[in-house]
Amino acid sequence: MIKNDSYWWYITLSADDGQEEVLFSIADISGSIGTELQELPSGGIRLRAYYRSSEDLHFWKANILDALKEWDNVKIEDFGKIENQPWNVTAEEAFPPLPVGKSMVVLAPWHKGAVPEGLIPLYINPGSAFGTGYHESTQIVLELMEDFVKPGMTTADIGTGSGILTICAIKLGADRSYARDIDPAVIEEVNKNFELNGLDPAKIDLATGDLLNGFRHRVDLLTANILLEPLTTMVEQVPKVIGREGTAIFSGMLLTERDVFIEALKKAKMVIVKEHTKGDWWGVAAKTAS
Amino acid sequence: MAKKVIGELKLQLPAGKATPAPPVGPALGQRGINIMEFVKAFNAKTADKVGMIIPVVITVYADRSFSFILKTPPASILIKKAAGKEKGSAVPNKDKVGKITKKQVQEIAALKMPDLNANDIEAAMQMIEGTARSMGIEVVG
Repeated sequence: MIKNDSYWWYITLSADDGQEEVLFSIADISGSIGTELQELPSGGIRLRAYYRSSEDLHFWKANILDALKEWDNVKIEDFGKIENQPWNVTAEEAFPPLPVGKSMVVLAPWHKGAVPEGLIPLYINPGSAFGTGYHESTQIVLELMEDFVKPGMTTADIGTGSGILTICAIKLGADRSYARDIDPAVIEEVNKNFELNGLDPAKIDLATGDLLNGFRHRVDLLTANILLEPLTTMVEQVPKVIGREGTAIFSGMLLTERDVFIEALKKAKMVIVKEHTKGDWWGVAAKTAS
Repeated sequence: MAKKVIGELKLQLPAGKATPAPPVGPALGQRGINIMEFVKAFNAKTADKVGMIIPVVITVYADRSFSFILKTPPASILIKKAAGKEKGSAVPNKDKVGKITKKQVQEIAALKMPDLNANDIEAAMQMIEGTARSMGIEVVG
């Protein structure tokens, strides 16, 4: 029978910069169940190694001290006990329902069946891709999309992450969305989120892609929530994708970066239609200059 | 300053068998990350390495999402494999439980070079040899 541990031991080791591999091995040799590494701002590293409480602390310390004899500068910093806690509850509490804009609410899968009345639910499994909805830069795009997505539109979502912006586009009535991300690892995550929202797969074209390189489609609305640098790199290619009538929403920039991006928009012959700020973050909707 | 990436967590976890126990629970829980989501993803990606402890670098984003990359297993695991031993010595300075050759040390050093922060292969080999000795494994040849 496997009994749940009610507590664990930890022993923290310190060493010089560049010696993390030594600490990793010492933790492994001494029977640790897992470690966390910290790099100190003042130089040096700390490794907190955890051990089962099935043996007493002296047993584990003796294991470590034996392995330490080879390494003069590796030291035991501290040690102690950590009680079992319902750590996962804190994660669920961290993602409460999040109303966005006038008409939407971001929900986690465990909120299914409890949609606040009159709101459009955007389901996101808060996991391994940017775009849980809890960042100002995502909220900026979602709120601008409320103004700009019209039924029947075709949209592009560059840097899709969790897929939240494509989910928003389709739920607000878009007919088709091209979702692109440079990281192949997000594809599976995005597909799960699309399924969670019951989106029609025929409406979505999901693929890996580096910004707009190799992107040959024409869309009515383009969204990109990335960072200043990639946005300024891709902005010149945007007018070709949205034509004279389309709109592009750019986000992921700090308010202090506004001037730099406005300059990039001018160079790309684009004009601002609407700006949006939340906290320290800034986003903008723009069109091709006529 | 506001940032999209708020930090990197460097953990070492048992391949295929991570749980919300420490270090995962305390490290991820305090940053509001969905712990089970991470545990499932990590175990799926390391299922073929059960029995090893694997370093993982987790990037935590400001919206409490994450991404992670796996690193090579610690040198101690590679040394145990090379020596054909499941375990190191319980009293490494007295009982020598196994042997590895200089050539094996060099192979492990070469494999670990990207993670070792060593200036050259000699420095990397010294680190591997020291690790072997602290396990009660003798370097010969």
